[in-house]
Amino acid sequence: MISGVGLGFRRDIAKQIIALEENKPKFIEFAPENWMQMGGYWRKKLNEAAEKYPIMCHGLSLSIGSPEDLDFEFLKELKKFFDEFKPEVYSEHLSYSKCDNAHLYDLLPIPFRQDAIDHVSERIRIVQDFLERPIAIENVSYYTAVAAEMDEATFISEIVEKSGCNLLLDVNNVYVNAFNHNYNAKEFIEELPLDRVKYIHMAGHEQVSPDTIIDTHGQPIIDPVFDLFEWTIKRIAPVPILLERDFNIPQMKELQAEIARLQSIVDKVWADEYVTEKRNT
Amino acid sequence: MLLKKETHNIQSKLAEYCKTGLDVTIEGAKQDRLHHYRRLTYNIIKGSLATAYPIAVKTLSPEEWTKMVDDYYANHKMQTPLVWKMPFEFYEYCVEQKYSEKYNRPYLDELLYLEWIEIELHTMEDMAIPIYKEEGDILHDKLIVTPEHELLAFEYPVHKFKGDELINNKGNYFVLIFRKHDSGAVRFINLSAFFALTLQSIIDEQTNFETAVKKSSEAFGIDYNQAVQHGLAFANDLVAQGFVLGFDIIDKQI
Repeated sequence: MISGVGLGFRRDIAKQIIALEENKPKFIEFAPENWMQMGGYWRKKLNEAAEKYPIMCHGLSLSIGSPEDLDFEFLKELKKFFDEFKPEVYSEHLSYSKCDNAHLYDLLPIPFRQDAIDHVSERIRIVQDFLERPIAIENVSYYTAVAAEMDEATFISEIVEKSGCNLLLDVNNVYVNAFNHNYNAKEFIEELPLDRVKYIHMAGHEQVSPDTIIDTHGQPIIDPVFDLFEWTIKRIAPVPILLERDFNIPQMKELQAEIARLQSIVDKVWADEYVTEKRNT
Repeated sequence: MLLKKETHNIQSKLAEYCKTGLDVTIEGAKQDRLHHYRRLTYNIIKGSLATAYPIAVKTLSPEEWTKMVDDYYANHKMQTPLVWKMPFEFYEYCVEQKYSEKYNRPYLDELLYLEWIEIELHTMEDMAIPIYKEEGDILHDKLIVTPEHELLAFEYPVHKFKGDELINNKGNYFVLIFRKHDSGAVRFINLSAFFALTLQSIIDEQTNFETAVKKSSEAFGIDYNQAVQHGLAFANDLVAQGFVLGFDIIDKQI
């Protein structure tokens, strides 16, 4: 089982990640859509990385919140890809990126409504059955709610409950949303089904105006997000943690330093917990 | 369908707004935040297309390029779930919408295609290669070539010239583009019409080099013996550049 802190496998740093001998991330994560149906140079690099690291996959185009039918041709390709690379976790965003038969390639917010819960939950169940594996859905950052009839925590919790899926908790997204929508991040996290968290994402963001943060994955993680992370993992069982960095990618040593900081928090919190549990038993 | 029509309509409104950027009122949304979605999705499309078509971006005026991108995003329903394949749909859209005529740039379709095919050949899935031997008779053995290739005919030398120079050089151009088996790099080789036909015979009809040269010589009315001499140099160059991988292990063709 994968544990510890991993790093997003991006083309800009693919060669460096493959070449690492020291301070390696514990695993890598990539979006299947960025590597599917590829051969040549990049396929070789992916194969090299897969030989060296355990793998997680984080999807971009499933569009679980789309109002239309699922794309079974895409799911077939996805299954084939997973059969080959055997990711330990497949996660996707709780959002939609395709609507009225057109892909948009980014994450739009699903209306927090009961019919959307029923619709999305059914789609998650179908996907899980088709892929013959559980999926973990990620709480996404959003800049405005749309036609909401309930709060976000209720929306996410009900979908997890109804669909039987797992949760990928993106701590930075919670921070971003709490800032943008003026709510308490810790109270929000406490309302989630934390026993279903199987994976955590951590990333940086950018504040673009006094009241708006954009989830860019283009900056280092800031201290308040590290603090929220530490607070959060005290409340959940050990799971893998991913450092995401998609833009403005710095030197590898800077990423390694971020990974090390995350790992030190993980070691401190979960090692303590382990010791306490052992003492209690 | 468990989703109500009303919720579907709300989702459609947001998606349509992202595509067009036209003002929209969406129930329960902060109007002053909606623009982030338009900007974020548009930047993905714009960025992916600029990366895929760097020469076209430089060749067209910023207004021309932006109009093509805007029209495409607003009007085309992008079908592929794989972002890396999306620029091909842009090429098809631009041909269909006749931007080459609208902009009086008759080379535009060929330029876009050349840029796309370079990506496709670089990235496409590996194709099966027959078992081959490395040593053989270049004239008489069947040649095994790298399978990821395209033999292209252009009216404009989009692989050699830029911008309006292209218009002054209208003619018949032939290019072999292929992915090198060892490095995965994409290579271009300029071809004469004679060798383009010769290569086509080798690739499509799987004839050996000598037979292919004979056929081309007849078609062009060229002395066969002279053509073979030139052809040998060409064939050896194809081996040196990595297009010809080796020789069929079965037997010599008659």
